[in-house]
Amino acid sequence: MTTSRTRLFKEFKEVQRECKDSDLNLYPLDTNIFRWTAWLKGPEDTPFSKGRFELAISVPDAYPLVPPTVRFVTKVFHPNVHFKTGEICLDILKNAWSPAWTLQSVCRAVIALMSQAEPDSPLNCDAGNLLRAGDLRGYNSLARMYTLEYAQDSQKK
Amino acid sequence: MTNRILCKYYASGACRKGDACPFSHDWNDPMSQVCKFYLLGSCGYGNRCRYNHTRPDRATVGSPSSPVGFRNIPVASRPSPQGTAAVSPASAAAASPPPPLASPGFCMRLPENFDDELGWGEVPEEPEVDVGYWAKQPLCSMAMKGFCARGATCPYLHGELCSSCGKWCLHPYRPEESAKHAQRCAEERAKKDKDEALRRSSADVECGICLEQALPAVCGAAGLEGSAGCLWSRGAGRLCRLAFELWARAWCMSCQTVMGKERKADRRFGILTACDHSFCLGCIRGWRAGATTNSAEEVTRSCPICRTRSHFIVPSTFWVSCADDKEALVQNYREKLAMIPCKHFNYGNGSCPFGGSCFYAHADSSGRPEEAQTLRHAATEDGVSVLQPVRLSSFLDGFDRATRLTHA
Repeated sequence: MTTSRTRLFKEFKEVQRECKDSDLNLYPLDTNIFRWTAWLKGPEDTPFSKGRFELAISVPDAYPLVPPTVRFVTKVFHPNVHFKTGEICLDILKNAWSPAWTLQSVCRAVIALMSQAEPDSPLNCDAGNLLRAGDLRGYNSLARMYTLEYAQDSQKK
Repeated sequence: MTNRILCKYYASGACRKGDACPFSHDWNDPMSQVCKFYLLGSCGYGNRCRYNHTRPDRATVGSPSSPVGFRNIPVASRPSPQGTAAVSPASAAAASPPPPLASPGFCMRLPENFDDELGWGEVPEEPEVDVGYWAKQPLCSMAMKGFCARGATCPYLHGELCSSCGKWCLHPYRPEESAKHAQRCAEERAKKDKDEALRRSSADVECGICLEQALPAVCGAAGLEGSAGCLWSRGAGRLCRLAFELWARAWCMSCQTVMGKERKADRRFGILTACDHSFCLGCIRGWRAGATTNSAEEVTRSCPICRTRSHFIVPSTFWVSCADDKEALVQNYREKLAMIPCKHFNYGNGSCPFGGSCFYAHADSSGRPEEAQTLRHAATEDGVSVLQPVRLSSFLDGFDRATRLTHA
């Protein structure tokens, strides 16, 4: 418990010290260092560009020996993100976790996942099937539509 | 055999018995490793006790020397090592040298006519020094620590100052012993200095898991110890180091640069054998134990940063960056482990899953090492069957032997 708390405080300091990136804004709840919120900017050249996506991060007590739980709060149309719950299918959040990862690097990995989808292990079958069938145009337009619908800059609190 | 066991008082420089001591005064002899609780009849650790459970052979124990009455105490004069007031009454020196102070239960009571016997007050004409006799005399343990209340009237010899350890423990009449002591002191000092340098160089190495520095950094205070600003720069090195550390920590707490571990036991690195990434021992052990995660062993056994697999970790109080140092550290660690009895093997009563490749000692209670296990085969109608429980290590270690046996 103390180890995870100390480490989270260090990560918080690190996040504050680094100049604020425009594509990632990461901060904990005011009352609880174990609950974090991240705002990601959709990567360029993807249907998610110009969108802002909210991530809810819940850190377990045994962190960093176990991975944090990360899910999308904003609705995303992506093969590896559950459309309803926002659950993310990412190996480093499951069995390939390493304590050397930080919350910041996890967010970077999520951004990388948005531009590099893995349609072979889909949580969103519709998106996965579209990509696997090679219908890139259909996938792009659907994802773009949901980005415009749910993840507009104006919706940022 | 007590005369082959190093006297513990002599080792700390304070044996009063001199040559009459039943224990060895030779630095080459080992200290006693016999469990004192076992000698008293019961040791709570039983077979697991780290000390020897053997009774010393009665015949070889040095018989106590003849009892000495207090009248015979050689309170005679002692030549002061400082060269002042070397009192040596002719009466005492001319008589045969008194028997050595070797009786157990020796009482330091002084005779009533102490002053008369000594003849204090008379100025001696000529300080005659019997070197052979004085070489047998023990040193005053009070003076050795720095202050003897009796000063020049002390019946014991006062040693000379050892410049390395700061104790007054060099015997003025045993030059070869003094030389040995000085040599040991110098070696210890060099080792301490080397450790200190290593500790300083590893102060800013950060753990990849908790992101803290395993060792307390000293924040500009480095190099202070031993300089003019340091109390007790010599001699009481322990006090100095402690005070220094407390001071350095307090200093750094305020400027927030020390993120050393709270507990001293935690200030250790766990060094991975296969890669050069730094972790503190607690963190990397927790990760490799894998109790809190459902990750595969493949993942937990590898370095959290580069995912290179290491088969074991080596605890170290300082960080090693050079490959040779690391090699030496690993070697040293394995040698140390090989001295500890394996708890699975349990002196031959158990069976160790690691077999011949176990790091710990496989020896029975008499100290005989385990015989190398070879596979025993027997021909049956449907091929060859193995008669013993099989371990993977027996295939790896004794592969050649096993194949030879099969072909024979």
